[in-house]
Amino acid sequence: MVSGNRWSRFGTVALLGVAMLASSSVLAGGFAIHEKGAKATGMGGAFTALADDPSAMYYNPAGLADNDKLVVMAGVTLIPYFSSFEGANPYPGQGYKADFKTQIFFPPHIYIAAPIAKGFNIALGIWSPYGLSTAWEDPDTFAGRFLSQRVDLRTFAIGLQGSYAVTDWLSIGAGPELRIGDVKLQRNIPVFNPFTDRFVDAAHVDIVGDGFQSALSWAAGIQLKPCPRLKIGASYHGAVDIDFKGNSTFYPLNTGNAQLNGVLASRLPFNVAVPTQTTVQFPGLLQMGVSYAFTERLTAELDADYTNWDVFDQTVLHFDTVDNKPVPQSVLVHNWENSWTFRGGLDYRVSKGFNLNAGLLIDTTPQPDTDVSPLLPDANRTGVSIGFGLKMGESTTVELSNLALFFHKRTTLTNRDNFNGTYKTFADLITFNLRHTF
Amino acid sequence: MKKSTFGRTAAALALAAAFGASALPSQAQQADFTTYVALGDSLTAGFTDGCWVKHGQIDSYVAIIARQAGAADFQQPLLDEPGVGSGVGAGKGCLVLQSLAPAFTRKVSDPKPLNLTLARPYNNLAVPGYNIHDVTTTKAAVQNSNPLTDLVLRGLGGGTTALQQAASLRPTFVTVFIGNNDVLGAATSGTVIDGVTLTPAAPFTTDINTIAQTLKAAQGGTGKGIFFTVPDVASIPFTSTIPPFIVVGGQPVINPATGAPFTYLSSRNNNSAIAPIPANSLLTLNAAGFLPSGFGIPCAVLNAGGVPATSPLRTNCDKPLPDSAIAAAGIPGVVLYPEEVSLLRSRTAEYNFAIVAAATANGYKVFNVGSYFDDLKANGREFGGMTVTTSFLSGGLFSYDGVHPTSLGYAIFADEIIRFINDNYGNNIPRPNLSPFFFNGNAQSGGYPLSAFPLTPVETIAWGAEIFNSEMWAAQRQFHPLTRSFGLTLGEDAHPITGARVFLDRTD
Repeated sequence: MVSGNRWSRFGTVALLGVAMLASSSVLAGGFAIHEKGAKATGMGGAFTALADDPSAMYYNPAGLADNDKLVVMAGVTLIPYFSSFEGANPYPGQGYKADFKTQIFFPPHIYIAAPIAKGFNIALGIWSPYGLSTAWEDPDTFAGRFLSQRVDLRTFAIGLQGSYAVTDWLSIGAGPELRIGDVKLQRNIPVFNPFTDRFVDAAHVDIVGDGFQSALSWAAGIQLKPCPRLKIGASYHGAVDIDFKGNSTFYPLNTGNAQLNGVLASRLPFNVAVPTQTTVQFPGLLQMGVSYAFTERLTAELDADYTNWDVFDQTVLHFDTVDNKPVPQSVLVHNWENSWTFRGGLDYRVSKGFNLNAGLLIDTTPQPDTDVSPLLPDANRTGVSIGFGLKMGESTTVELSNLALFFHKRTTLTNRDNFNGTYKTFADLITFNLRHTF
Repeated sequence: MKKSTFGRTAAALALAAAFGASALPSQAQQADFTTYVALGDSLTAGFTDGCWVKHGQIDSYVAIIARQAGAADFQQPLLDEPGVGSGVGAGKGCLVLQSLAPAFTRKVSDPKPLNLTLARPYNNLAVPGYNIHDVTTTKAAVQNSNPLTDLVLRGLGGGTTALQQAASLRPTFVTVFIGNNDVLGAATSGTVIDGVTLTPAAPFTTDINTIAQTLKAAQGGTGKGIFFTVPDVASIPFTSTIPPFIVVGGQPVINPATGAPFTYLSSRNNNSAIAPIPANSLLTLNAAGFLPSGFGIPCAVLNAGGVPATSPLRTNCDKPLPDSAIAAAGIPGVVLYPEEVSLLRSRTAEYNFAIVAAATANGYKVFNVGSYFDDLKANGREFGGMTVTTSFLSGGLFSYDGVHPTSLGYAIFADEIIRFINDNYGNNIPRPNLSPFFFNGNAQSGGYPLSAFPLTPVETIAWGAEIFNSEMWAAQRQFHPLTRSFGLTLGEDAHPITGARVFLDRTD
């Protein structure tokens, strides 16, 4: 793992433009984002075997081995995202309802692929492999505000890959990936007011990462072409832990009682920066796929992805002691399980320069019922996608796809914090990109 | 790797087919709440903050169970505000917290029954102060000198016991939580006299058998209901809040001669030599009335700490804390010596043996309150980031009297019992919604609106500051800050506890 300043600076500068634009997301199995190109997304993300555009950097690095021209591909995925919650007894209780703030995320992707020699290609790219944002409406009164009012986790991968056609039926590709990320958490802290026998808000805490932190990972892929119509691919992106450093600021809230306010002020380091550390574990992703060209026009692909989410077991927030007022560490237990995603996609060439895509995906959640919480309510998902690619002139292609992602209704009655109820979520992903060949 | 949901479902279906429905309690075995009757003492009556009043009664744990189970016409001996506390008159009613020092006042105590004319026995027949023998034998207040008796029994049927009234209702479901006062009276008075303040095991066993057999007969020969065991008296804030050793700034004062903390001084049975109490003694909350004026504190410790000659702590230093009650002076005992604690514990174990035997022999389920309280004390409970503990004042589970739960504490207990019923009887009673109990507080119930007692900022709150330590909002539940900090403060920046008086003369 690398977290040196030089890398950070490089990452920060390189990403300044996109990071300013990009927000985070919550899509694809836990908090993974699988949408890295319009064609791939139009095919339900089943693209590991085909991998025939520069988004292969994510789907399968080996797919670029045969690239024979300088190609630039850039785009963005717009993700309107809707989530609502209905409470269950004993807490926050039947009849309680809350909604996410309606947010639109737009993780970007940029790839440059260049042939160095015949059968040998290098590529540089930036994409957003993981992201998370849950922001609740009316955070000051939201019943889960003592668990989470808002969390934002943004990550980017900067990849540099080489790919090589070993023979005409075997290609390989690999390279390092710098992962950078940024995190923010917000919540309120309760206190029992013995004068009124009720829980009241004692403080609001903002935990803000100190800019982007980084760690080094890698990716590798292999592609087989046993016969002209058949392709088999597999790829892997490594697991990585990113150590986040930042500051927590505790803001006092009026408990309604002067004595209680005084006691809290004597106990909590209010209005000062409290250095805070945590580590987030990001899983490894294994993608496997088979594609078959039934006709010259129609190609189909089936994929299975396996993510070792079991690395995401807990998040521990460590707070330094400031003003001799210690804040105990906070442990969020996740205990996620490894998960599978199954994808199927079609690519149909209507005419020269005009392709249509369609796809379907089934994504199983890695999150156990005990961890389904206001911080991150995940669920199994079914997705349906369509898309098209249109060539504009000799060297430019415009691609657009839409993936409707239906989160299955998720009910937990065994949440570890006794915050129980049902979450309903829907997201729509609109991926757009331009591809230009020089 | 995720297990196949389909596989699990298929396996479950296969199992269900193989065993049929017989593996689960059938409809006929489910608890029937058509006529639900509760027997008990103050804990079942909904006593809270040292008083018995409507805002506690309507959320007694049995009332919550009845509500959730849809029990028809569940009647209680409701008492209108301000309720009754210890005796009748000004300053004898519900406790009101005045400051985190802590300091309490009491409202007026004024019994105003709201449901006295009900022509039949109440469903909640619990009487505050009742011991087990009251349940089987007491028909009127003249017998047990407990005026609250008549508010519940009302001479119905020409004078009947709570047990007889319960039986007369032909209950379809009963809960019996009795025996607390048989051991608690000795603890709260700090005076353990077997056969006087402490009920011996033999008569307890006779009474619990009578209760179980009588109820079973009234239920048509099949016991349907729950008997509760008696919790450890050391598990309540009343006995677990003030440590037996002298504490300054949250740290025990160490005796350089022994390397161990200085403990307070007392005199065994009020008639032995004055000596430091053993470190495993328990002090009751009533000790808070003695410590500020120096009772129990060696003068030498004050000298070593540089406490000025004008300090109120000097008034009574070297004098013993009362071990046993001095009735003539109205002084409670405040020390439970280790041998007293172990007698109370072993007696509690004997009661519980008798309760389990009587209950199971007559077909009743047993809910182990001792384990539940121990678990609460060790782990607390968390709901949506709010951690409730058994800590006095700061924990949320126990009310100002240190013995009885808050409405929140009762509601969490009711939730536990409902799950127990569902698990044991195959019912599907909905769990209660706890949100109102977390956020509405006692003001909502007609209790203590903030404006009732104007408060001024206090620059240092010696013990209040200790109880609200920063660990409260951690997910860590093992802390009991009060046990470290309820003591006196010494030294230059000392803020001696002033006016810290908890009056608790048998309000249970």
